[in-house]
Amino acid sequence: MAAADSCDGISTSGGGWEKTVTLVSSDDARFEVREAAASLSQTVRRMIRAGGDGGIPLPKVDARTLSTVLEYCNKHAAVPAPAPESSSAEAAAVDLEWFDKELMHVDLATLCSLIRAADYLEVAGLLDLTCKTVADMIKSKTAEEIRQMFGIQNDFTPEEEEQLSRENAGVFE
Amino acid sequence: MAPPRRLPELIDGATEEILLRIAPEEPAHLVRASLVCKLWRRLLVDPAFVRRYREFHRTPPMLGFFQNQLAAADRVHAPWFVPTTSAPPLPQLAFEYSTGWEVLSSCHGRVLVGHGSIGMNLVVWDPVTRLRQRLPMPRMRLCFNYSYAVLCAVGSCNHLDCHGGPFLVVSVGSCPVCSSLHLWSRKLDPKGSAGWVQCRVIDLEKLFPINNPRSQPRVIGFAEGLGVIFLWTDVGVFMMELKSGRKRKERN
Repeated sequence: MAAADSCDGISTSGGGWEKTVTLVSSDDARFEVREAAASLSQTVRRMIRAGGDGGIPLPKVDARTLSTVLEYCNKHAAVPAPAPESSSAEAAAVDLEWFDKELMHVDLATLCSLIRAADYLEVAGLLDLTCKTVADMIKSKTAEEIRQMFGIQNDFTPEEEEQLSRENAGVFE
Repeated sequence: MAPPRRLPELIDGATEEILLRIAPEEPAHLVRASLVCKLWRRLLVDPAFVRRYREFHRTPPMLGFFQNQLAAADRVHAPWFVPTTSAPPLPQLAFEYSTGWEVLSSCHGRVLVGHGSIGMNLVVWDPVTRLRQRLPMPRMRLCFNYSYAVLCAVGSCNHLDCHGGPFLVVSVGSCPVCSSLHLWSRKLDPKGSAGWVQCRVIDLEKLFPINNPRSQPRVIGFAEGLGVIFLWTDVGVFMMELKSGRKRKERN
């Protein structure tokens, strides 16, 4: 099957013709996306190369999560590469940073779904952004607060816990 | 409809990616994360993760510095670790010898500690693993006023995890009697030691103007990798390139 089979096309506002692909979420929602944006996902890029009919299935990502991932991809793929150190490059970097910050204003469950999706879809920039956001949430918390945050069971025995707190006395003071 | 998944399931595969991005400035944050559960602890102490973490963050954080404090009782110096992070990862970080020891130099996780002004005893100390390695003295004249430095001995090292590897101890001493500067070095690696080697003898009187012959020049600094030393004399501070012998007076 030819690679172009999973690709459609739309005309852009500039009058040009841009290749698009259709991505299908786990709950069968279809998203038509510019190929340049979808290709920020290494997983999708490989699937485009492999070709196929009726859109690219992404059985591990639901529609809600996929729409946020695509929002990220559309924004990051749209930024042209101006000459470094020019004022427009600086403005574009500030704009992207602001966009990323706004995108991360979601609850923890959504953030975790985004991490899982970015990991599966191999969108390196989004994986970095989401993991860094969660890492920043963790860093000022105690072990017990982190457990509560993620619903993690404390599986250390009381003896192990006592030994750990002895070894790490400075951290608890 | 499938029941909503719990958070641990959602982050399982990505836990390592999250932990990797905890900033290194406060080591306590990583220690606390290691106390959450067995899985997180296993991930954080795995040497492969530790290696990845160092490469990801590149510049290691400053955990603190050593201060040679006067021990009140016997009025001799003892090295003391002054942490610059809120919860030091090694709370009882002190040199476990008796007093009288001074920190002479520290670099890339190694600390050079010396004892006694005449016939200096030298120990290279790794405060993290607490390993100590005693060095014999170079065969030098007792009248020398020596400065020391400990350096990593691997030329192409990125210094992210070299504190257990080979090291070089450099010693530069000035002799007030013959006004000369003596350079020694000693390389140690797991295979053994090359012993002390005298590299250069520099005649200070020929090179540097000295107003008062009783005021002796002394080495006040090294620039690692550049082969440059800084000398204090009573007319000012000089920078000297060891290879070429070129010197330049620094502005005061």
